[in-house]
Amino acid sequence: MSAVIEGVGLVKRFGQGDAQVTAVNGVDIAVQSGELAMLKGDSGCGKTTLMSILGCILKPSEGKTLLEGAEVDYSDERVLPRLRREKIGFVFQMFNLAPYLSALENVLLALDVAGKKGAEAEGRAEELLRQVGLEHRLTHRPGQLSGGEKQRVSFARALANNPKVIFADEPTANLDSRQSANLLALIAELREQFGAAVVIATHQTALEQSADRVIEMRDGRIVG
Amino acid sequence: MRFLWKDLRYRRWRAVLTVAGVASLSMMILLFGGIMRGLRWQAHHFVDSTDADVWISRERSGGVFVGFTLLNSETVVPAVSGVGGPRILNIDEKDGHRGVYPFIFAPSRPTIRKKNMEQEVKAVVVGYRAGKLGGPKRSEIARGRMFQSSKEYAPGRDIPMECVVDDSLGLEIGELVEVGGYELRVVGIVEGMMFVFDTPLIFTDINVARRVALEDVIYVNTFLVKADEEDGAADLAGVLSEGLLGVDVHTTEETIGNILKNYVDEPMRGVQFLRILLWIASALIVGMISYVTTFEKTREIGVMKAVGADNGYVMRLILNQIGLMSVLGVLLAVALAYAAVPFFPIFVLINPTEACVVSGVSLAVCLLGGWFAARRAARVDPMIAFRGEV
Ligand SMILES: Nc1ncnc2c1ncn2[C@@H]1O[C@H](COP(=O)(O)OP(=O)(O)OP(=O)(O)O)[C@@H](O)[C@H]1O
Ligand SMILES: [Mg+2]
Repeated sequence: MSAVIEGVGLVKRFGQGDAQVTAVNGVDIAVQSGELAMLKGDSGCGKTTLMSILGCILKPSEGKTLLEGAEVDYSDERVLPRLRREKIGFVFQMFNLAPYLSALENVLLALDVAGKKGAEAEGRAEELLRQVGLEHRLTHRPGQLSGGEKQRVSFARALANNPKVIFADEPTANLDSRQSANLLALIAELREQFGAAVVIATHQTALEQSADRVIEMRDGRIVG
Repeated sequence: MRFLWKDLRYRRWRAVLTVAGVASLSMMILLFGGIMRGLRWQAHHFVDSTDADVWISRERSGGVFVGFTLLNSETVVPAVSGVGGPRILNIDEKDGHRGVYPFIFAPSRPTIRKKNMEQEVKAVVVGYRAGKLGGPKRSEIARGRMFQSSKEYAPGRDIPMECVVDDSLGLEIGELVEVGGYELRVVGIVEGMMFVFDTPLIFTDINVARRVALEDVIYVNTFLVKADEEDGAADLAGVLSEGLLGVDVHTTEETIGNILKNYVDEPMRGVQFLRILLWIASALIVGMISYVTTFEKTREIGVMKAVGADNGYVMRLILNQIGLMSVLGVLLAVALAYAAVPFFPIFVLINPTEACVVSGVSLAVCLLGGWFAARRAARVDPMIAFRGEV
C-alpha cells in the first residue's frame, strides 16, 4: 500500500501572543490509499484542523503535505481549489447541501465546479445517488430528506469527481445510531468500490470496528 | 444556468425587487432624457417650420427667442434687401417686400373663451405674413382656413382679428382667444405646433400681432429671409452681417443652437446631474442587494469553494445572477418608459439609440456594483464549511 496523502511535521497555530492556540502540534500522518481510517479524540484536540490542512483548505503554520507524493503548495491560491476538486472529497457534519437544489442537483453542482456538465454529468450524478440508495429521491430538496438521506447525498457529492481521499468530519454527529451504522456500512462498501481512502473524524466509538485503523489525537498530537 | 435559475427562484422576491429597482431607476433616467429630447425636438420643429434661413434681430439683443429684439420695418427691409440682393429668395415678386419678412414672437397668457367657460393659458402669439416665412402654410392647416391677411400696415386701420391655433389649446373654429385686450376669432386649427415646454402657438397676421402684442408700433421683433440657393444660408448670413449696421444676423442653425442652450442645456443641467445620481443609486441598489445576498450565501459559497470551486467560478456565478437581473431590469425599464410616454404630462421623446445607450450604461453600472459583491464572495474562507458561521 502507498500513502495517498501524507502530513509531515504539521503544526497549526491560531491567534497571537497569550491568545495563541496550537491546534495541531507536530503531526506526522500517512493515509494509505483505499484505507478507512478513524480519527478520534476529545473535543478541541485538533481533528477538524488536521483534516482541513490535509484537505488543502487550511495552510499549516509549519510542516508539509504530500498528496500522491507531490508537495502541496499552500501559497498558490489557484492550485488548492484544483487539488480539492480533483483529488479530495468532503463530507461535513452539517451536510452543507444547497437548500434550493434537489439531491441530484447538489451532486451535479460538484461536477459543475469541476467543469463536468451536460447529460454525462447528469448520468453520473444519478448513478452515484443510486449507489447511495437514493434513486427514489433524486428530485427531493434537502428540506424534504431525512438526516441520513442528506448525509448520503453529501457522500455521493464527495464521490462525484473520483477523489483519492475523502475527509468526513463527524458525518454521523447529527444522525441516530441506526442511521450512523447504515451510513458507515455504505461508506465502507463504496470506498472499496471507488478505491478512495476515507478519513472519518468521530466521537462515536461504536463505529470503530468498521475501520481499518483508528488514529487517536490528544492536544494536537497523534497519540496512537 | 440551471443552478442560477434555481437560486433566483429560491430568493425570488429579492430578485423581483432588484429587477424592479433597476427598472424604475433606469426608466427615470430614460424619461429625463426623453424630456430633454422632447424640448430639443420642439425647438427644432418650430424653427424649421418657419422655413427661414436667416434671422435678423437687433444688435446684441440675443435674438427673438432668447432675448428681446425690436426692429423698424421701414429702415430694415430696404437695407436687408439692398445688401442681400439676388442672394435672397423672393417668394412672391408682386408683394413688394423683396423677400424680407417681418416676424413677431410674443410669449403671452391669453384667455381662451369657449361656450361657457373662460381660462387663462400659456401660449405664444406668432405674427407673420400668411403664405410667407414664419408660420404654417395654407396646406398645413388641419381644419378651417388661414387667417385673412391685412393690407399694408397703418396704425389704427381695421384689420381682420383672426387666428390659427394649435389643437392642444382645445379651441374650436369660431371660438375666441383674448390677447392683450383684443379678441381673436379662431378660423383654423394646426396640429403639433408647440414651442418648448409644450407651449401652444397662436398664429396670426403680422399686423394683428403688432396690435395685440406691441401696441401698434411700427416695430416688429425680427426679420426672416430665405436664401435663393439651396445651401446659401451661411453665405447670405455672412454677406448681411458684413453689410448691415445695428443688427445681428443668425442662421437658422445658430438660432436653434441659442434656443437649445437657453431652454434646454442650461436649465437641464440639474436634470443631467440627477441622471448621474440615479445611475449611482442604481449601482448602490444592485451592489447593496448583491452584497447582502452574498452575506446570506456565505456558507453556500464556502462549501462550493471547499469542494473545489475557484474564485473565478464564484465570481462568475454571482455576476451572472446580477447580470441577468440587471438585463431584465433595463429591458423592463425601456418597456415601461415607452409605455409611459403617452401618459406623460409633458412631451417626451425617447429614441431607440438613446434607450440603448442608457440601458448599456445602467447595465455597466449595475455590474460594477455587483462586482464588488462578487469579489467579496470570492474571498469567503472555505473553512466555513467545517466550522459553520465564523
Ligand atoms: N480559527 C481559529 N482561531 C482560533 N482558534 C481556533 C480556530 N480554529 C480552531 N481553533 C482552536 O483549535 C483547537 C482545535 O480545534 P478543532 O476544531 O480542530 O478541534 P476538533 O478536534 O475538531 O474538536 P471537535 O471534536 O469539537 O470538533 C480548538 O481549541 C479550537 O478552539
Ligand atoms: Mg471538529
